[in-house]
Amino acid sequence: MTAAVEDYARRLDAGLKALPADERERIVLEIRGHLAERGEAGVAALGAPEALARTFLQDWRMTQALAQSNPAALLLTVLDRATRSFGAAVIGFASLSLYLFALAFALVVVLEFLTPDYVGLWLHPFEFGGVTEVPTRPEILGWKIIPLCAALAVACWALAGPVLRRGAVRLIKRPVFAK
Amino acid sequence: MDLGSWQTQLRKGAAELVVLALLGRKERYGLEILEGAGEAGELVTEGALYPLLTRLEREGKLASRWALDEGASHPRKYYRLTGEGERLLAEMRPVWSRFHAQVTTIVEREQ
Repeated sequence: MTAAVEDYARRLDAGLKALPADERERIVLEIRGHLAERGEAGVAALGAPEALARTFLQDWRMTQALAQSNPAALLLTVLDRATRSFGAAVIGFASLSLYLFALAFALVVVLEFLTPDYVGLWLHPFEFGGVTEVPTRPEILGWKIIPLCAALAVACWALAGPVLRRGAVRLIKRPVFAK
Repeated sequence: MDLGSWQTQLRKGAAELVVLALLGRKERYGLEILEGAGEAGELVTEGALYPLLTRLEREGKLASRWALDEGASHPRKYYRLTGEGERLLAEMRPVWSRFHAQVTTIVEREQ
């Protein structure tokens, strides 16, 4: 086996450190066998070992996060893939935006309890949520901002989960080409 | 339009079906799958094949066994379809045939 093949297997193994040992060993053994038959042409065709390792890792992390119903881990995995996939960028941006909107609406609810004068809806010009200076114009919603923002926070949070999960399932079925 | 990028997108969409169809005929290891896919053009690239096989095996669509064949210096991992993989292939085939027929009808009508 040539030094190039050995170097490839070593770098692939290093890139897969986050995987369980038995899975990592099986992958490296299979790629090593592939390169033993393909030779150095296979080294070039497989692409950089770090990129190949990253594809294995992203698929594994996404599968794990989907199985564990862990939205934070799933979102991070999708965002990690966004640098190589337009679909991942769209899904990551959409679900991250929905989670951030949910948190923002929830924050408005909390602020309405703590500093009600600084929270509300004002028109001409439009201002919604928390403000640093209380406008002189009349506030429109009053206490109704609490159920409204609570409902919007729940709706955004509830929508973000399926967007992220369905998007991740679609992404995982679309291989990233290392070459 | 970048034709290379478009071709890559087409290959991405077809890679899973190509691999399942090749394994639907007989058990194969990675290089044999690539050769089978290569006979009809470069339908699956080497960098995409092994993550795809790993994912399909993890999902229960494929099963595998290791074998040290005569003359081989390294063990080979042979893949075959599971019952779930066969069902998926049976579902994907007519979808692909319909899609192929629809696109062909439109493309040839425009010529």
